[in-house]
Amino acid sequence: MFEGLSSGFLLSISWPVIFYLFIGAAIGSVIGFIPGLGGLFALSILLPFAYPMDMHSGVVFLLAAHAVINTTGSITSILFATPGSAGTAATILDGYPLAQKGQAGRALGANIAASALGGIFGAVVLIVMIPIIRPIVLSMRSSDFFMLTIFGIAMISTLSSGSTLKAGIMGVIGLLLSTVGLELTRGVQRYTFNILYLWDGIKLVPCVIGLFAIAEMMDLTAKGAPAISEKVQKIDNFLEGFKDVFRHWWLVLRCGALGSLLGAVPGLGGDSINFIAYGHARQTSKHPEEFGKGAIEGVIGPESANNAKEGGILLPTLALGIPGAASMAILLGAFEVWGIVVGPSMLKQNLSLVFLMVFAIVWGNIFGAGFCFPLSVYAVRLTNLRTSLLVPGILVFAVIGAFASANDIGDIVMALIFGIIGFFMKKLHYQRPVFLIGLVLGGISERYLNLSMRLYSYNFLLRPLTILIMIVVVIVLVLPFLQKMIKKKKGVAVKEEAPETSHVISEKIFATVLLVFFAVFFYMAIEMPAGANRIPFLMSGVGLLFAVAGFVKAIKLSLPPRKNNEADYERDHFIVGFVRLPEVNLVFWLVVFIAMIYFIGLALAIAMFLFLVICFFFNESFKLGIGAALVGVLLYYLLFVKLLGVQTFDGILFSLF
Amino acid sequence: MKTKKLLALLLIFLTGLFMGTNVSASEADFFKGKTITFVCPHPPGGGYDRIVRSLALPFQEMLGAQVIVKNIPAAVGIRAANMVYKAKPDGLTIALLPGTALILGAIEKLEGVAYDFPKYSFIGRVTAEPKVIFTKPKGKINNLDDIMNSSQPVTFGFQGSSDDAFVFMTGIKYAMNIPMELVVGYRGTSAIELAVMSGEVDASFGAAGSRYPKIHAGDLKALAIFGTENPPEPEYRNLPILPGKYKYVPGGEEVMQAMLDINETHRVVAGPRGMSEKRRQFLEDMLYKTLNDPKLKKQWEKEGRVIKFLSGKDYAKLAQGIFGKLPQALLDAWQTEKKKIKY
Repeated sequence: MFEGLSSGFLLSISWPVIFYLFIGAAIGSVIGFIPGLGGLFALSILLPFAYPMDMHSGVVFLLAAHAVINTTGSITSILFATPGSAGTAATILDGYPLAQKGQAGRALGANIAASALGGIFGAVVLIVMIPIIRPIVLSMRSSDFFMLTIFGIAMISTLSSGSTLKAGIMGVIGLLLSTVGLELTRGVQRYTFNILYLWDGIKLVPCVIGLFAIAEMMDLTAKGAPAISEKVQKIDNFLEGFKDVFRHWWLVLRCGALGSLLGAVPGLGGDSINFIAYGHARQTSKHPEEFGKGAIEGVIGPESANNAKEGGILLPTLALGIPGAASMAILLGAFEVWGIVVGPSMLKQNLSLVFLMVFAIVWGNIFGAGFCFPLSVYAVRLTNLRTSLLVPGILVFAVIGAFASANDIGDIVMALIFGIIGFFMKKLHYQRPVFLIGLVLGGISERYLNLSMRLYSYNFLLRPLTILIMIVVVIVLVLPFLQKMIKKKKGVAVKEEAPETSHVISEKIFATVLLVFFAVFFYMAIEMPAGANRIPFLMSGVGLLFAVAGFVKAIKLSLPPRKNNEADYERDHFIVGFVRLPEVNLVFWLVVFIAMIYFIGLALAIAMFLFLVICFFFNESFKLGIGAALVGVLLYYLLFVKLLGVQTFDGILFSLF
Repeated sequence: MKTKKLLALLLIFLTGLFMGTNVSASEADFFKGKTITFVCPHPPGGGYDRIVRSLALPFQEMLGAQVIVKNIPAAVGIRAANMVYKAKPDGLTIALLPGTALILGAIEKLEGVAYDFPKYSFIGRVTAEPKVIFTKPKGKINNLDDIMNSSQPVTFGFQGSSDDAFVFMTGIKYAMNIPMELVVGYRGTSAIELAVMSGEVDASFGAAGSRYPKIHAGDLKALAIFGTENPPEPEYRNLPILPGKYKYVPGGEEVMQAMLDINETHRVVAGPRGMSEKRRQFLEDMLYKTLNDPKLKKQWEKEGRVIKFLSGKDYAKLAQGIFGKLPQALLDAWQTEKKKIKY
C-alpha cells in the first residue's frame, strides 16, 4: 500500500506528467467557467488530445481537467447567477445575493477554499474506500437505489422556505415533468405532444440556464438596477471567504462526505448532490432564515460537496468498471485504449496508477484553485459593469451554453421557456431548487421503484439496507420539527420565516396557470396506457389538489379588506402596462434572438441581438452597440468555435445556398 | 462497312471510357473545398462518436473537403435518422446509423419515425458485432445448457422493450422454448452489467465487443455467442454459437435467421434517400479505402472493434429483405413479452 502511495506520488510530480496535469487543470478551468459545457463536454473534446500521450500523462490530463470544472463553474454562478454546469446551480442561491451585496469576493474566496478542500477530501475518501467499495456496491439492489433517491427527494423539505404549499407545488411539478419523454419500458410517449425533441425529456442544462441565468437577468432588468452591485468589490473580501471556510470546517467535512459518498452510488445522478448538500447546510445551520439572502454556508456546503464528488464517482469506475457519472464512461473508453483493466486486478497489480489518479485530483484541485483566484479577481469587476452591457452579454453567454450542451436549437427554446417560468417563480416566491430536485430525481426514482416491484414485489421494503436508508429519510423529515420542539422547550426564541408578500393579481394569474397545467396533465395521464401513467397520474392528481388550494389562497388575498392603491397599482402594472414592462420586452427580444438564430445562424444572430438590445432596449449609443456586437461575435468565434470546437449553427437561410 | 462499324464502336467505347473517367474525376472535384456533415446519432465520447471521428479525418484527407462531426443524440437515434433522411442528397450530409435500432423502430411503428429505412442511400456497413449471453462468474449458471435446462425461469436484464437485445432474447426464448423472465427498466448497459454482477438478475445479452473488457477482467462470464462466427478473443473462441444445432420450435429457425439478419445491419454509413448512384459509389469507394487503411485498422483493433465491411448495394438488399420477410412469430413473441411487463 505504502509502496503504491509513494510510487503514485513520485509519478505525479515527474516530468512530463506534472506538465500535462497542469495543462489539464488549466483547460478544465476555462471550460468550467463557460456556462453549459461541463465535465462531459471537457472530456469529450480533450480525449483525442490525450490518446497520443503516454498512459500516465493522459490519465492525469483528463482527470485534472474534470476535477476543476465545478471550481471555476461557480464563478459565474456567484457573479452572474449563471451556472457553469448543473452541479454549480445551488451556489447561486446564496452566492449571487452575496455578490449583489458587494461581497462577491467573500463568496468567491469561500468557493476557492471549499472547492479545494472538498476536492482533496474526495481524494482521501477515494483512497480509504476503494478497497471496500466493490462489495458494498455489489450488495446493493434496485430497492436500495430507490430509497436513496427518496432520501434525495426528502431533502426538498430542507430546501423549502416560506410557503409550504408553494414548496409542495414545486416539488410535484418537478416530479411530474421528470416523467416527460419516451418511457423505455414499453415505448410509451408521455407528455411529448408529438414533438421528437421531448422524447428525451426535459434536459437539465437548458432548464438550469433558463431558471437561473435568464430569469435573474430578467429580474435585474425589471428592477432597473444599474449593475449587479453598485458597491465596489474588494479584494480583501477574498481572505474573509477563506477564513469562513476554516471557521466552518465541520460543514466542509460533512458536505465533503455527502458529496463523495453519494457520488460513489452509480446511477444516482451527480447533479442533485449540490442541492442536497445545500439543504443539509441549511438544515444544520444556526441561522437557516439567512439562506437565500447571502448565507456563506450556502456557498461552502455545495462547493465542498461538488468537488468531493469527483473522488466519489471514481470509486465505482475503478473498482467495478461501472461509470459513477456519464463523464466517467468516456474515461473508461480511454482506459480501454491504454490497456488499463479496471476492477480488483487493478487494485492488486496497479496500485501506483490508482494513487496517481488520487494525486491527479489533489494537484488538479490545487492548480484549479490557483487558476480560479486571478480569474475571480478580474471577473468580479464585471459585477459593477452597467446592466445595459452585462445583461445582453450574459444572455448571449447563456444561449451559447444552452446550445453547446447538445448542439440543439431546441435547447435554446427550452432555456427561454424556463427563463420566463423561473422569473415568475422568483417573483412569486416559488422555490426553484425544490423543482430541480424533483426534476432530477423523479425519473431515477420511478425507474428504480418499477424495477423493485418487478423483481421483489412489495418485499423490497423488507431489505435490511433499504430499511436503514428509510430510517435516515425519516430522520431528515422529522429533524426540523424536533429541532424546533427542543428549542421551544429550552426557551430559545425560534425565528420564524418572515411571511412573504407578493403581487395579488400576479398570484391569481399564476395560480390559474398552475390549475390549468395540472388539469391538462391529469387528463393526459388518464389517457396514457395503464402502468405507464402511474406516476404521472399520482403527481398530477396531487398537484391538482395543491393547485386548487393555491388558487383559493390567491383569491382570498384579493378579498377585502385591502388597500385600493395597492390594487390599482397592481392592475396597471401588470395588465394595462403589460407591453411596457421591461422584463416582458426582454422576453420579446429573446424570442427575436431565437428566430434570428434559426434563420441566419448563431454568429450573425449574436451580433444583431447585442446591437439591437443595447441600442433599442437599453437606449445606449450606436457606437457602443456596434462595438459590443463585434466583440461578442469575435469572442464566440475564437473561444467557442476555434478553441473549444463547439459546433456552430448556420441558419436555414444559409443552408439553402 | 464492317471497319466503319468497328471504328464507330471503338469511338463509342473510348468516349464512354473518357466520360466515365471524367465523371469519376468530377465526383472527386465536387467534394474539394466543400463541407461534409458527418452525423453521429449519439453523444460525444461514446462508441459511435469514436467511430465517426476515426472515419472523419481520413475522409477529410481523401476528399479534400472539411468534414464536420455533428452529434445529434436524441430520441434513440431517430432524430438524427430523420434529419439525414430528409437532407439534400448531394453527398454532403452522411451519417453513421444504428441500423438495428432504426429497423426495430420502424417495425414497431414508433411515432416520430419519418424515414423509410430501405430507401436510405447506403454507402457501406462498417461493423456488425456479434452478441454475447453473459452472466456473473461462480453463479448458479455456468453454461448455455444451464439456461436451457433450468427448472426456474432465468432472469435477464434489459433497458426497454424496444432495445434490440430485448427483441433478440425474445426471439431466442420463443425459438428455443427456454424458460426466461425478461426484466426491463435498467438505464444503460452499465446498470445492466451491475445488476448481473450483483446477482440481481441472472444474465443478460449484449454486444460482444462492448462487454469484452468486463469479461476479460473476470467480472462477467460469457456463455454463448449470437452471430455468424465466434469472435477471435480467447474468452469467446470456444463458446457455443447461436443459431446452431439446437432444437427449435416450428418456425424457430426462421425467427433465428431473421434476427441474425437484423443483427447484420448494425452500423452503416448512409446518406439521404435519392443520392445519385455515382456519388454513392464514389463515397463507398472512399469508405472502403478508409477501412482498409492500416492505421485505422490498428486503432480499431486497439479499441476492440472489428471491421466488417459490406457494400452499400448488398446492405440495401439485406435491409429490404428484412422488411420483406420478417416472421410473424417474432413480432407476436415481441408483443407478448411487451404485454407481460409489469409496472
